[in-house]
Order: sequence, then C-alpha cells, then structure tokens
Amino acid sequence: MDARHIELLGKSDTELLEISRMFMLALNLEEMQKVQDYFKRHGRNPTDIELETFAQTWSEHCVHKTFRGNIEYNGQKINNLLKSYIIKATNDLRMPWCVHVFEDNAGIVEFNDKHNIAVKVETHNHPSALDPYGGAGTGSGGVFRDVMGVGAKPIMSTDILFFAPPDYPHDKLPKGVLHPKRLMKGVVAGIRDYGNRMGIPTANGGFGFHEGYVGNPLVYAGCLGIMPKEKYVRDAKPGDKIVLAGGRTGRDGIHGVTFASLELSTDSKKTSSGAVQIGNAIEEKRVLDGQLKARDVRDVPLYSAITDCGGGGLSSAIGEMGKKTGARVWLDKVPLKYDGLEPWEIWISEAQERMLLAVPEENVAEVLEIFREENTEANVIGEFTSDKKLTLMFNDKTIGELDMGFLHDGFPKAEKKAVLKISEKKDPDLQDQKDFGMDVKALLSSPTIASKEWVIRQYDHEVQAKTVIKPIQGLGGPGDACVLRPIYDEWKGVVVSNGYNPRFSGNPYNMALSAIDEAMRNNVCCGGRRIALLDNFSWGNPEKPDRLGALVEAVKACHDGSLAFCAPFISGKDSLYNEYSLGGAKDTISIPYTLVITAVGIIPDVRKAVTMDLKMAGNPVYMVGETKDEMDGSHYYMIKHVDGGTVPGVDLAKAKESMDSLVEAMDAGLVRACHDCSEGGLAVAAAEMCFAGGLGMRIDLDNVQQKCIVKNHKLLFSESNSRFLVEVAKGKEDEFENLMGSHVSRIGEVTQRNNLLVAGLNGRAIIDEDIDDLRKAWRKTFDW
Amino acid sequence: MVKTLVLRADGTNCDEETAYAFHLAGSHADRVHINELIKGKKSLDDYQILAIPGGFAHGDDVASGKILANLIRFKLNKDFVKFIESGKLVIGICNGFQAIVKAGLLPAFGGFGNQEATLAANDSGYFIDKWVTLNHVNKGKCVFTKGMKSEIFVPINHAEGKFIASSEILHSLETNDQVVFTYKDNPNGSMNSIAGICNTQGNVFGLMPHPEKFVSKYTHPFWTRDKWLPEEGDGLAIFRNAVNYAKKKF
Amino acid sequence: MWVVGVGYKHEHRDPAGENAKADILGLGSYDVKNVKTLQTYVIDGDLESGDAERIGRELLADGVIQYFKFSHFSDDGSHAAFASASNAWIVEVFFRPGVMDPVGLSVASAISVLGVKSVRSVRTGTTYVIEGDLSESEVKAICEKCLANDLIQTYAYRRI
Repeated sequence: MDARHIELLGKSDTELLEISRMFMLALNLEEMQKVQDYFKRHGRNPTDIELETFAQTWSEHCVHKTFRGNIEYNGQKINNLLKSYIIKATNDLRMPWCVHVFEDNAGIVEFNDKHNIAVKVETHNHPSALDPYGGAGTGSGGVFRDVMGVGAKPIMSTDILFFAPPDYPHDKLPKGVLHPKRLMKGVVAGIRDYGNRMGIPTANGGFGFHEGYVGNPLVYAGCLGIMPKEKYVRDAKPGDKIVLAGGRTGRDGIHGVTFASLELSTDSKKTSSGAVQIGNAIEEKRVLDGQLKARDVRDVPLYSAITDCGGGGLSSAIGEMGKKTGARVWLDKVPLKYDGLEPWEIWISEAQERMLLAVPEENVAEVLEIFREENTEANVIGEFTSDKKLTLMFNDKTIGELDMGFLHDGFPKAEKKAVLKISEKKDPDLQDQKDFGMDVKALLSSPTIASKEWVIRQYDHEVQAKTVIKPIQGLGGPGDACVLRPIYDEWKGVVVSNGYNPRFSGNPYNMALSAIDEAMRNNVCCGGRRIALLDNFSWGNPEKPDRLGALVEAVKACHDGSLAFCAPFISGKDSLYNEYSLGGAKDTISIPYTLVITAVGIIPDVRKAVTMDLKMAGNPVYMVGETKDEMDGSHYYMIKHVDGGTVPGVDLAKAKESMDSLVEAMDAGLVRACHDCSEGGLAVAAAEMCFAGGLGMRIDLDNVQQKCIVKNHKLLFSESNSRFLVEVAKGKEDEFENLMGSHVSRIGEVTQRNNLLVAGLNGRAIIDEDIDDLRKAWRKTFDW
Repeated sequence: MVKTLVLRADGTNCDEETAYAFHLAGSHADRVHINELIKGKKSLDDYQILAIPGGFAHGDDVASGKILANLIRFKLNKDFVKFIESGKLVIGICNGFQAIVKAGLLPAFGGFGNQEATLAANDSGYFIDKWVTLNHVNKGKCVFTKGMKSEIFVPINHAEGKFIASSEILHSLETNDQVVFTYKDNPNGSMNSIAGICNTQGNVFGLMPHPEKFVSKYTHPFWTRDKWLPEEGDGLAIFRNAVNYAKKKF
Repeated sequence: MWVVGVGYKHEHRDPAGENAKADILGLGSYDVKNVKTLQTYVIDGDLESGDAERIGRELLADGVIQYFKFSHFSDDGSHAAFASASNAWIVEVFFRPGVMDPVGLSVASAISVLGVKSVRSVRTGTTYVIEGDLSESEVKAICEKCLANDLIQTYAYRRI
C-alpha cells in the first residue's frame, strides 16, 4: 500500500510497548501482540492509519475492557462484569416496554403507542479538568448527539457535577490543577451556553462536593429525546452511501479516547492540548434541524441508519455502522477546517457537531440539499460494501484495509484481579446537644446541600414549553425530579431524576444500592413509575485490585437493586482512571467512588404530578420508611469532623412496597407534597419543604419509625434510604394510612408559623428556628 | 384561514411552541427558514402574521439578534417594510424583539432601517430564567394586547434583555401609548422597566418575555399550589388577538 | 490586517468588565480599581480603512450603547494603544492558533452579508483595560489565574 508503514513484525515485547507509548495508542502488551499476530498472518506491517484504528476501536472508552473482561474476585471468576450482572438483570426482568437497550447510542423505551423515548448519560471528565468551559460544553454536545444518533429529538438535559469544595485553600491546590471555584463556574457556563443555544432545557441535575475531586472534577451530561416509533432505523445496507453532515474536521480531540485512559498529571496540559475540543452549539442545532427534516420529510426516513461522530471520530462511527457489512472510505472527501491534516488525523479526529448517515443512492441528492438549506455541509465520503472489510482510501490510493470481524472482536479479553477491602468502623457515638439549630444551619450551608439557585437560573428550563415540573419548586425549593409533557395535546409525562452519594464509598455495595434507591425515590416524589435506569461509573484505576473490587461490589448491587425494584437498566457508561498523580510521586489520589444512577419514569397524567412545597397549614406530615443508626458518610459526621458507623443499606422489599403504595396514594389525590430524605437527613428535608412552601412545620421525633435509637441527632441526621416526608390532605389521613400500612407514621403537621419546630425523644424542643434564618444559611454559600 | 409565518434562522429554538400557540389561537402556522425567504422560495405576501420567535439566532454572536437583524436589513428590508406598511402584523419575541429593534423596524420613529433602541446585557451579567409579573400599560394602540387584563405572569429567559433608548425615544414611546408591558420588579435593569413596545400603528409588537410558553396552566411554576389557575395560560390572549384582528382585516 | 475593538460607552455598564473585576478581587490581594473590556476582532483580508469602519459601525458595535475603535494590526501589539486613555494595563486574550473560533467564523460570514467580499478570516478575543496599582508580576498572575486558560488561549500585556 502506498502509505506510511510502521514496523511491527519481529519487534520484541519491549519494543511493542514503546511503539504504543510513542504513538499514544494506550494499547497494552497483549493487545499489541494480538495486532502484531494479525499482521503476521497477513504477511505485512501495518500502516499508520491501521494502527490508529486499532487504538481507537480497542480503547477503554469504546470497548469497556474492564466491564467486558474477565475478573478474578475473591476466588470468584467473573466473565464479563456488565453482561453477568447489569444486562442479566435487564434480561431477567424482560419488560415489554424496553425497545432497544445497551447496544445503540442511547437506551430506548416506549413512551406511548406512537412514540419512544431515548436516554443517554455520559461523562466528560478529563477534558473538563483542563478546559472547563469547552470540556463541559462539548460533553453536553456529545450526549445530545448520542440521542440524535438514534434519530430522536432532544427535549431535556440533565447535568450532575462533582468538584472539590469551592472554598478550597489556594495554597493547598496541587500543581497544574485549576481551582474548584474556577472549574465550577467554567463548567456551569459551558453547559449553559451549549444547552441554551440548542434550545434544550436543562431541567434536572445535581452537585456533589468532596476534597477527593480536587485533581479530577467529574462532569456527567445526560439527555432525553423523543421520536416516532416507526422512524427508528438502523440497518446500513451494502450500496448505501456514507454521508458526513455538520462541522468540518480538524485536529480537535485527537487521542481523546486514548487520553481518557491515562491518568492526569502535571504534564497533562502540554501533552493533551489535542484532547481539548471547542464546541459550536449553533452548528449542532443546524445539523439537528437537517436530520429531523431528512427523517420526517417523507413517511420513511431518507436514511437507512444514523449515528453520531463521538469518541474516536469517523473510525468509531463508520467502524460501528459498517460492522456487519463492510465499508470503503474516501478520506480526501472529508471537508477540512484547515490544510495539512494527515489521513490518519482526519480518520480519528474528534471534531464536534458531526453526524454520519447511511443513505441509499437514490436519496443522496435530496439529503445533501436538506443540510445545505440549513446552512450546514453534507458530503458523501464513502459507501457501505458487502466484503466485511474496512477499506480506507485517500486520493484513490488504498492506505488501510482491515477485517471488520477482527477489528471489533479480536481484542484480547482483559484479565484483572480484584479484592475487596472493607474496614469495620466503630461509631463515634456523639453526645446529643440541647439545641441543634447551629448544626442544621451548618448543614444547609455545606456545599452539596446549599441552594444552587445561582446555577439553576442560568439554565433555560422553559424552552420547548414542555417542562411541567421544574427544578425550582414552589417559592424556591430544590425539586427532586422534573416532569416533562413531550406532546402538547396529550397528558402523559416523563419524569427524570438522579441518585448518587460518593460519601458512601466506604461500602461500595451499599453506596450503589443507595444511589439506585435515591434515583427511584426522587422519581416517586413527583409521581413517577414504570422506571428505567441508567448507570454511570466514575472510578479510579481498575488495574488496582482494591478499586476493581469496589467496582464489582457496586455492579452486584446494581443487579440486586434492579431486580428488586423491577427497574431495568437500559444504558450505561464508565469513566475509569480518575486518579491524579503528582508526576513522580508513587501514590495517586483516586476520586471517591462515584456511581450516578439516572431514573426515567412515566406519569400517566401530568396533572397528577406532585411537588415538594408545603401547601396548607394544618395538613398532617407523615414519614414513610424506617430511620436506622447508619451514620457513616453522613453530612452530619462530616461537619462534626468524625468518622465511623455503617453506610446506609436498603431493605429492598420494603422499599419497593412503600414506593408503589406512595404512588398509588398520589394517584388517589391524597398527597399534597412529597420530598425524600437524603443528605442532611430528616432535618434538612423538612427545612427545604418549608422554604418551598412559605410555611412552617412541627415534628415529633418520638413518632419517627425506628428501632433502638436513643439519640436525637441520629434521628435528625441519619441518611437512611427509602424515606419520604409526605404532606397529606387534611381529612384523608385514614385513607392514606390504610393504603400505606406499616410503612408510615404520622410525625407532625404543617404550621402557619414561619418556624421549624422539632421536639426530641424527651419531648423538649431541640430545633426551634426561624425559617428565614435557615433560608439565609442555605442561600449564602453560592450567592455568587 | 389566517396564515402565520414563524421565521427560523440558524439557532432559533422557540419556533415549535410559537407555531403551536398560533395553532391554538386558530391560525395555520408555517415554520420557514430565512433562507427560503431570501431565495424567494416562500413569500411574505402569502401570510398575514409574521412571528420572529426566541432562541439564539447565530449564537448571539457579536450581540443578541444582531446577525439576524443584519440579514433582515441587507437582504429582506423591502419585503419586511412592505409587510409592515400594509398593516399586517409582526410580533418579535425575545430574540425576535432584539432582531427587529436592531434592524431598525421598531420603534422606527425616524423611518425604517435606523436602530433607535437596543436590548443590552442584563445588569446581573448572567442569563436569567424566571417567571415575572408584567403590568399591561397599553391603552389600546397595540393590536396584540387589546382587552388583556392589567397583570400577566410569564417567563423570561434571556441574557440580553435590558431595554435602552435615549430619553427622547423613551418620551415618545410613553406619550404615544407605545409602551405595552413593564416589569413589576425589574429583573434586568430595563429603562422605565420596559418589557415590550409597539410601533406607532400598533401592528408591530416586540417583547422580551415569552407568552408562547404560558398557553396552558401546566407550565405555570405554581400550578400544583394554586387551585384557581384557569386552564388557559395568560399568554394565549396575545396570539388570539392577533389572529382575530387578521381574520377581520384580511 | 485590521483590529476592531468594541467597548461600552462610559454611561452604560460593562458586564464582562464587572465580572472580570469581581473575579480578580476574589483572588485576594490585588489592588484593582476598574476593569473595562473591549470585544476584539482581528480581521484578515484586503480591506480599506473605509471597510473596517463600516464593519465596526454596521455589524460589530451597537451604536446605542457601544463605541468602536480600529487600527491596523501590528505584530508587536502596539495597536492595543487604541484601547485606552492612560495609566492602565492592557491585556489581550486570544485563542491559540489552531483552536477553533466559532464566533470568528460566524462574524466572517456576517461581514459578507454587508457586501464586503474580501475577508479571509476573523479571530476574536477580549482586550482588558485594567486600572490599578499592579506590578508586572501581579498582572501576569492575574492573566494566568483568571483571564486566560493557558491550554487554549494566549495573552499579552503592556502598560499604557
């Protein structure tokens, strides 16, 4: 072939590794050997573009080596962690409304008899650490394209962000790391500008703060879209032309996917500038408008398949789409931003805002014209074949030719070892105070709990006029979930929520189960049911056995939780290697294990949706669920600077039953407000309901359902799962109690006074605070 | 049936809900890209109402609405002026308001083509998403708000909504009954708290808030608290007034 | 090559300037009195001075609240003098060459709508005019911590 060849045949193991390092391929020895074997069988050396293709297609980001590989864990042999647990649970549940899960760009479930919804959540951690504005913006752009990549129209976005506390001392900041406040402002602005420009309401999200994120902020971007059922097509046929629509191609993001597998270091800035991508939301809006026209101008889409160009660029998109058929690509036909790109750079560039379509020959002219009318470009850059090969050409010369089968399935299965280390921690058993007012205020001011109104009001959550329940509820309280009404003339709705708590990392199994419980209960708070789940893991280096052991435990919990709640997982992603090394230091700092669960539920009639703001003085307040002595990872212990106890677990059977009953109670019109207990426990949840309702609350800890707890602070601040505060309509108490059975106890009532009054186990008032004072504490942290 | 042209440009994103609002009000609405008008594939002659919806036309590059305004000024000025002078209706919402002001089509005291006012960055320096109470202060000149109640509640979603004009222009607007809405609590620093204005004929209307986002009770932020909210949102009246007027006149 | 700078008339607010000032003061110890900004556009093309003036007036500056200045672009940065009257530090922040500049592309296309056909490219950036008692090393620190992201932007400063 008339191309630059790279000598691989006859190279020793050390030399193979050196080649991998030099070309930033991030392939390990076994993988390099497999590639070497392949070319040995073909009697030649690879060209540079062929090697790059293996690097992209076999990267952690594209293959999920850890999740799909073999793991030896505490004597157990696990073959394909993802399939054995998460996908297995979904398959066992066999929900008929799951349309397409785990395989395409986004998970797809039924909405109504005419429409499906598509959901995807992704992380964009490493780029955001270097350029928060561009990294977060392109992270949003990327996940929007995933939803566009199944042919759906994005109708909402959700963003969950993790940083070190914004008052982190400047002098303690590791070298080469941006300050968390600067990161947070940049990331929020990036998400805002991309989502607002594309007209996608950012209607849900969350934040988590922990010192462990100082070197590795996490940016989760999610998107939900809707599409007519019959418009879902995904079969590229031999003879179809490959059409590339959208922005031009440049050196953006080269080695982005392989970069994601390397730990960040102080050198990252210099070596990784190629990994940073700059976004252009208007370009993506043009492409979206074009592809929707190509989808809808006739009864059947003008294209036979569509996908987005994301990680790995054209190499991944065309490689995936032509997996079963074969493809021939003319790289010289790709429109470029500037001259001087090598063919391999064109092939793996991660330039943003590009979509790939398989278009039957007879529709090509019309498709190209549609995109031109939207002021964007579209070009034919290749065709699908039936030879099961990937053939790369430049100016009529073949510069690469690979077997599709080997490219996608030839990578060696990763073999890793995992161990679990859980230390038993004794509970510090603090003394009770006479008054907890100061503690409540300290909790309300702590970054994870504090009001994020400064952020939320920068996001347009009205655009498209589909947001029925918004992120700020009532007179100013934090909503648990958002509710959308996707079709103007119909009453059916979609409910989106999240769950996560990295402070529970001490027990990864319980942490994962808690995340699922939290996502579910947030959804239930607004009336959601028929819930689908998405998992997103941000973790440390999986080659370290203890990190991997924790991952296995979390995945097992996903299986158990999914089955118990009858909530199938439909999509997931992982971002590994989130550790920060100080270049030379042996120890790297891993982030706290962070699993974000996204829950997507349905509500048959949005007019029955419930919000968390208190509605009327005199209404009784109930608590659903049992409070337990499970203080490890609690915000209370954090502000008290103590450590110990156990991480909250989940009583799955009780949790499911109580949630199902609560939704029934909502449908019967018995519930006036509902809010779940999470960070800061019962005390914070009660305060938040008062903020939102402009009313007060009186609570008696004596009536809180629990066993053997004798200290007030445990009842106030335990973060036990599956608990809700519910305001019931006066007069409906009997009906509510009958429906909920043993899951509820009546603990107080809504009052007219501007005050939160809590009586402790001895009957004396232990919290007696003015709501305005509490609100001040809650608002001051992010009053930027 | 009354026909409304809902104009789209690169980055317009409130066109669907704007078209839906006109549909609810009884008009047929077409979403048309500005390229189609420039190339002559569609003509304003076939429509009685022109709506320029909200969004981020051309990314708000240079300034909000500026590039779209220039496209109108340099490529379609004759057609737009003819449309306005024939008494047909024009409504510019948010980004649309910015575009028609910067294209010199509103208030246009001194003739079309000269920019006499502007919408600048909010005093806070940030994009703001919130619901606001508007005082309806027009005494009858503006076709779109005839008979509307004295206060409405609608969302604002903008980064550049601060209305600025010289004291002469402000005076003319006030004395000619061309101020349509003012903010009860000024959220962005607009002079005279102006949220929306119309031209001297009352057939061109621009406003920063988004009436198309409140045509149904269920997008109201307090609908779960307020038992007495009517099923129809405050914003629908604006579209209905336009369609009824066009029906009678054309 | 021409450079056009667009600033706010003094009777109107400069939100980017106010945000930059707040960010700098938030760093702790810098004695900054005022920060003004000019949106800066470097236009590469075969243009006369009349074209540059027209581009500033019809496109880049909002005549109601902004003023604009323009001059030939000089490699040594001396064009930056147009930004200020006196006694200030002038910092120019631009994207590094090769980094995508979507606003620049958009402006280039918008210039052709005016009928000016000979523009090859447009680069966008921000010029900060910082009034305050600052040493050179302090200005450098402010640039690095606050005004420019070294990964994708370059900065240059001079005292006027």
